[in-house]
Amino acid sequence: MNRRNFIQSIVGGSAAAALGTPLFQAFAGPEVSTDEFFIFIHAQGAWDITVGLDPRNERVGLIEPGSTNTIDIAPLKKWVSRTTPLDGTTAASGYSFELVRPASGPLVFGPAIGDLLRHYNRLTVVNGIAMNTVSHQDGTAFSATGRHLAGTKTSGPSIDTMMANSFGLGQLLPAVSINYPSSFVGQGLDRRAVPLTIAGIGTLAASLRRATLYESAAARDGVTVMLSQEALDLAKMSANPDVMTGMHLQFEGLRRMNQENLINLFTDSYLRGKYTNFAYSTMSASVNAAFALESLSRNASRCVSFAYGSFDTHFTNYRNQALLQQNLFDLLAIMLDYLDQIPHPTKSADKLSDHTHILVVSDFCRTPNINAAQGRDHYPNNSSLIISPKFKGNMSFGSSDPEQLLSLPAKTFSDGQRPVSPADVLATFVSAHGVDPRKYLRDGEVLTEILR
Amino acid sequence: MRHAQTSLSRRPTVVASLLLGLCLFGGQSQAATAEKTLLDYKYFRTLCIDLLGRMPTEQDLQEFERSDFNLESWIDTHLSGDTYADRLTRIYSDLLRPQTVSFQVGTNRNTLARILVKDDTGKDTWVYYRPGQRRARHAQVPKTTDPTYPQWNNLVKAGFCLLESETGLKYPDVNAALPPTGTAKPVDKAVLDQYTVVVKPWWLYSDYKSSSPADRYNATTWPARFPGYTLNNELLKESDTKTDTMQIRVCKEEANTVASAPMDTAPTTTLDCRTGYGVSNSQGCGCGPGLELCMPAANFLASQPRAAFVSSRNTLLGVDDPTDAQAFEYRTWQSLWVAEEPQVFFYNLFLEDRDFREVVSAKYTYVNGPLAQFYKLSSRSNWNDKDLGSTSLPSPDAMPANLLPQDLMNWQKVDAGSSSAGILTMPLFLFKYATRRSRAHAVYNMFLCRDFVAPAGLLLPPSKESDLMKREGCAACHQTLEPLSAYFARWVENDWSYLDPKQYPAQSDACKQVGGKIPASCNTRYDNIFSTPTTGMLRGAYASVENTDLGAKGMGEYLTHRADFAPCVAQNVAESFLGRSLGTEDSALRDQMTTALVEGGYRVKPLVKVLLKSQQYRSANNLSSTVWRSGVTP
Amino acid sequence: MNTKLTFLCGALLLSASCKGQDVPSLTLDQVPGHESLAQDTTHKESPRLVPAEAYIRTYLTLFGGLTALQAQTQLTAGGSGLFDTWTAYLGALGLPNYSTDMARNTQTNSLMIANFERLGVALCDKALEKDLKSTPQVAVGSRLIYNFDVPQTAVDAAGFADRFAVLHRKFLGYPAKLAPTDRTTRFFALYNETIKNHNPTGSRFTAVEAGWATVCQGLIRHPEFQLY
Repeated sequence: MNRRNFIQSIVGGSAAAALGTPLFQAFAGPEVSTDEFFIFIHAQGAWDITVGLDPRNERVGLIEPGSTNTIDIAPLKKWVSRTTPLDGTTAASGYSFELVRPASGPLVFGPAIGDLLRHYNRLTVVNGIAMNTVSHQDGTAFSATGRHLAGTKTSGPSIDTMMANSFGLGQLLPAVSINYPSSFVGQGLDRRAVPLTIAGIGTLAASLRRATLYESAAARDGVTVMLSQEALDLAKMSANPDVMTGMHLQFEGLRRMNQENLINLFTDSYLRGKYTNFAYSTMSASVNAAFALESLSRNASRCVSFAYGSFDTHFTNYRNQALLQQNLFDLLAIMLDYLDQIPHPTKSADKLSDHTHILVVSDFCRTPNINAAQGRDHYPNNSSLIISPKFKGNMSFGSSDPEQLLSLPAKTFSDGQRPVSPADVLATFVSAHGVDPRKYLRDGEVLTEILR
Repeated sequence: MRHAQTSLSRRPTVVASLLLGLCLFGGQSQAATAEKTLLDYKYFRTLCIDLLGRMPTEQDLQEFERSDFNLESWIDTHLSGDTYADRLTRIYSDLLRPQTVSFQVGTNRNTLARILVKDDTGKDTWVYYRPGQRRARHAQVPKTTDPTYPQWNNLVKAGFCLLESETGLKYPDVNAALPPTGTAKPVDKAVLDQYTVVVKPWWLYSDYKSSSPADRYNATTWPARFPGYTLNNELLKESDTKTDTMQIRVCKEEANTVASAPMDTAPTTTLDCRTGYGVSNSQGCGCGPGLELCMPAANFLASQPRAAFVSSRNTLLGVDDPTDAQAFEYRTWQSLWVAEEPQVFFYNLFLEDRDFREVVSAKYTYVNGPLAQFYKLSSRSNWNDKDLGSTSLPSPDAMPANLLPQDLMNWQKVDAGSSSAGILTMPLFLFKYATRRSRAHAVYNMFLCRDFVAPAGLLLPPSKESDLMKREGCAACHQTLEPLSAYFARWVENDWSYLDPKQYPAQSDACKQVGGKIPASCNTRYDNIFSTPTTGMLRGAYASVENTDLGAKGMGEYLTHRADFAPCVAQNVAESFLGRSLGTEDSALRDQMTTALVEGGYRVKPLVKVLLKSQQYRSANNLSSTVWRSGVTP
Repeated sequence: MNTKLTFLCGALLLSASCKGQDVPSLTLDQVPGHESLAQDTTHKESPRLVPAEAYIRTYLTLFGGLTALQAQTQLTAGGSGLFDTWTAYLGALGLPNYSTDMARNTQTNSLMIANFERLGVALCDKALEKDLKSTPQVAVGSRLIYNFDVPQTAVDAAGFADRFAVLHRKFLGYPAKLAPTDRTTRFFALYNETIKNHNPTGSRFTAVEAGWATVCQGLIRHPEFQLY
């Protein structure tokens, strides 16, 4: 038997034997049939929760609230200055803001909440998340994966990978990650769930454009079919088949992308023209949000994730922190408005908003005190925002110390009283969709209190 | 490609290699190829990709298939040169990520804005001016109550040398960022001659230092002489957009060429004209010969420059082989070269196989024409100190005299000053990693392969303790981080300004607390929280005054004396070449690479050689054992 | 098929059908028929993605050793629709973005595969125009990619194999005869299918040219080209 014949026998003859191997497990469909969609947003650079989700408007302990002296308040829609100066007597000390409270319920916000206030009934706020880190890299990884870095490396899958792996394998683009801290690390992950990591939407259309003056689309597809088979055969011969299996699956994905003409999905001008409510000039990532809407409405992606920022305001750039947050929250409000209007692609009686789940996190938060450069530095507390039909709306869970803004114990977990951790938030999110959190997360307990 | 001479001369070689040996069937070698296995070919291809920066050509394959081909010798030959240095540079560029969105170097004191006036004949004429320039006329400004005062707004608010009454133009407050208003009227010739002068500027003339420059920019011949240097039409044409600009009119002070000049308000004090302080305080301080110290904003405001150059935002193949061509205003132009500096430094470190520890200790750096220009004034134009002390930036006097601003591809080694420490004191590093802690964290990552990660289950209870090294919970990381941050306490955050110990001692008697507070004048640089009634504490110095005084140089010594410094080099290189993280099963390889590095005097080449010959790199295959047992030779 | 291999394949099939049965505790050489079975002691590594810089350098070398911008000009010339700008492709190729701290992409994804298709098609089609359709004709030895004679009609299997060997070396860096899959046959089928189905209306290629273009594309888009 020469080598080629032998290989053919392996490829063909023993295929049945191989069906139980991890290679072929990759061809199984999603573990749970779903019509749900996911949007993950990372408020990159660490946001100041004292003007947003966990507001502070008085000088108490270490807290130096944002004020007319440190924040540019003119563009803030919900800013109402307090009548008493910060120091109680001197106008020169500046004026803090009135807390923003919805018509009912426990939620309370800072002035940065902007137009998202009108959707308060859908908001689940988790405060007092203990980050135990003030390193951007570590905090970012911790928020997205529920695990601290191991050395300098990410040690678990990010939340978009988790959801794509469980629910997105049948999608054309299981997970699209636009500057989001995605990671594809861990056991039991299907290569199709590798997040498609990109720097921006607008530049991608060119990759999908095809010339019409030479060989036909069918001929190119013939090349793809052949290469898909080559990759599959090479995978079957491999000690570690993952890479070749991945390419095989990606060739198949390319065939679908070419057939379904996805160029518009990645065309900046098309997205801007269709989703006109976003303020593209002031809201960074508006195109990403428009892409998320379009991608979900076409049932092309299961997860879209993107970063928004930067909120890293150590210096006088802190003056814009509240505005940046307002832009983010306004962007979310507009997204929700659109989601309320867009029909679900597979459940005709429903709107997208009935089946879209949004999680917004940040690296950690910023210091309660203002530094010498008129900015705020890193601080190991955090808040997150969940907008999901599977979570209780108009809900707040967890808290932070009134004087020092540090995380306070939220409840008695199985390991005792402690604050909420990022892993708890992720475990809850995963669990809400029927997936065992331990499939992806080493740590974390489900916060049943916030689930519907 | 960071070195013009080598990289540019490489391309014809590539073309030649394609043409060599091609015959009817592409020159496929008839030599005995059967003896080479697929693994042999794949190893050779891998070597080509990693050492030549591309896959093998037909010529490479023919050489490889020759019976007398010696792979060891081939590897030795190619463990050097342009593409090898590029490959290793990429490893550290990916770690350093030497670009930043917000990096801007423009100020009113290194920038020439311009206003369109009418000359005495009624012809439109740009008059270039430096908004932050000290002028003779500043001494004549009347009191604000004087009825003629508004006429001086042009000078007082915009920094222009001609008054409203002379030009007919009124300049709004620069904060409004609006163009001049009013109707321009011809400026009297005597006024023009008194306050302005005609100059042939550096951007148009390569011989701008001569008494009568003649070698004007030529779009046909200059690309060969000065590769990459392309001017936008904003600088090539007059305001009619048609007439070639042959010379420019500039306010008179800016045309001064001396390196130092007396301070206007204290004539016995001599100021260095290559500092922001000198520009603002001496009318004698100009932009130097051919205005070489100043950058063209090509607009009426320094803060709103228009495109002056054409260059690339995508230089990952090297600045000599850009993948795009875009209009650049001078700030992005300068930031491009500032971002190139550490990459060129790495490139030459690997090209010359120097002691790798120099990465955090070198007292030298590399500059090309634009970067030399940056170090002559721009880099220090926003500093307000009269005496900059022993700054860690290269001195303007260290800039090679033969390096023209048009010399983009010519990088020369220069002395970087006694306070410098390799990349740790380069403006790019200090600005990208804006805070003391982020700087310490970045090098902790990059050179020790470590991160600050809190132990599992750590609690952070509320506390009034300001010292993060003592505060419960925080101490887990900050006990290490704070003293490391102190090494960078002398570099202003969000800036690269240096705080010389003479002016800013780590502990200052002048800034000690009085009544529980340090003097207000100390607040910017000194930290009240860690100051006492006996001494004021420089910001960031509280964790270690000793480290503060050792500065970046001390950080370099700390890093290179750590036991995990050399293994981290091995790890960074191995992970890049193998395309995966190292695991515990790779510990032998890491140890061998580390030993090779250390025993080789911290030269990286022996380390790479060990890697290239390791089984992980050389003899690995991905055949399943079933296929392997079939007799398939990988 | 020798005895050893017959047993091995049989064992593979058997193991699939006997799922759940107890596995006897034996060393490999105690298993009947395995007395002389060789142990695979070679080191295993997964292939990794060719760095985007090396991909582009190779691409430019294949296209005649041009600079990136020179190649861009030529690839977009004549309203080909084959190429946009390098800038449009860099992110999808996996290059890092140092400004935004976006790390280098070390794994393929479907968009990267789409990008490889776009770039590969551009090179193969434009090179074919330059190599085979230029006036005056370009000598075989001076061509960029297609360094063999290209008859007006389709070649047979033997003629294809000789020419394919040239392209295989050029793109994948080793002789086609060492390929671990039945590659020449597979590419010959692709070549014939393309020729058979080619519609010359609106195409700048003849059927045979389209056939060779797709063979070229199959190699520059091949997993072994993207990985090392």
